[in-house]
Amino acid sequence: MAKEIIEGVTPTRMELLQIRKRKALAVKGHQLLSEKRDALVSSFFELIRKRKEKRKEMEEKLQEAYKSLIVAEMIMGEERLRYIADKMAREREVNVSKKNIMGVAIPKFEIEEAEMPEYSVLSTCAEFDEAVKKANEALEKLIEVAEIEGSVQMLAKEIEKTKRRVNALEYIFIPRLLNTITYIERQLEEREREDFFRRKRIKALLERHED
Amino acid sequence: MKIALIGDEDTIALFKLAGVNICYGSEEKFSEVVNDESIAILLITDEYAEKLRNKIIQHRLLKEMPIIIEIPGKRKMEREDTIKELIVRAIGVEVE
Repeated sequence: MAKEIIEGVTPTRMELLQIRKRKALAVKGHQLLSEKRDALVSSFFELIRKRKEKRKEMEEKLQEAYKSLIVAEMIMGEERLRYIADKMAREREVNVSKKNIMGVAIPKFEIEEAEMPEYSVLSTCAEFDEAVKKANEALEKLIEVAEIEGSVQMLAKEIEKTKRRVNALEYIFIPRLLNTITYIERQLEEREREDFFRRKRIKALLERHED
Repeated sequence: MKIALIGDEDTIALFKLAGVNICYGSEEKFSEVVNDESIAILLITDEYAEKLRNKIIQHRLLKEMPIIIEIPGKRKMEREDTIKELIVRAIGVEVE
């Protein structure tokens, strides 16, 4: 593999010039891509840190919400609470848009404002209101986490892709181009030596002939 | 776009209060949900996520939407979440 060259090259000066051009391009591409990779990785780390923070907040909110749900269930009865929860016909939707970080499209979520849910005040208790409020807060935090985890996912994929490209250039394409260049150069040199020798030989022959 | 949930009954009750109406109590609904294009976010509780682990990882690698979020259920569970796996794949080391 170390001495691999591009298949089907003819050792000519034209080809050599072309391959030199390709090599220069590959080196430049490699440099750009590895810069991109480094930039992606640094923003990736930033995201991971942020994710950890947000996740902790989210988990706390969720625990709180569970607690208030249990209290509400205790007062109203599990079945009735679930019945009312089922009947609360409203849907919170999220608006999705895309943001661009260094050529990577990452999702951005925006949750619609919580409307006042419709349920009878008489059949519920204050704890139920509390549980609804806490559940909404937990959901809002969850959306923030979703945004970050979505970005982590996209960035991770992009980093993988960029890494693969950088490695391919570094370990396969560029060495192969370099090997091809040396191969052509050697062939050309060899040909030149042959030519030189031939000319000398002919000259000698001619000189001998004249004598 | 909508939010969906796969989880146990308590979690479903909680998120119904927050206006998440697409709730399922069985992991078999997973493929149906991830192929539904009107769903942007899918919440899965730990217990179910553990069962669906491989599917989740695959989904994350192949598709962009919906975003899957693993949430702790009523009982907290100690487990590795699948985002960690993505991080390891991307940078080769585990990051805390």
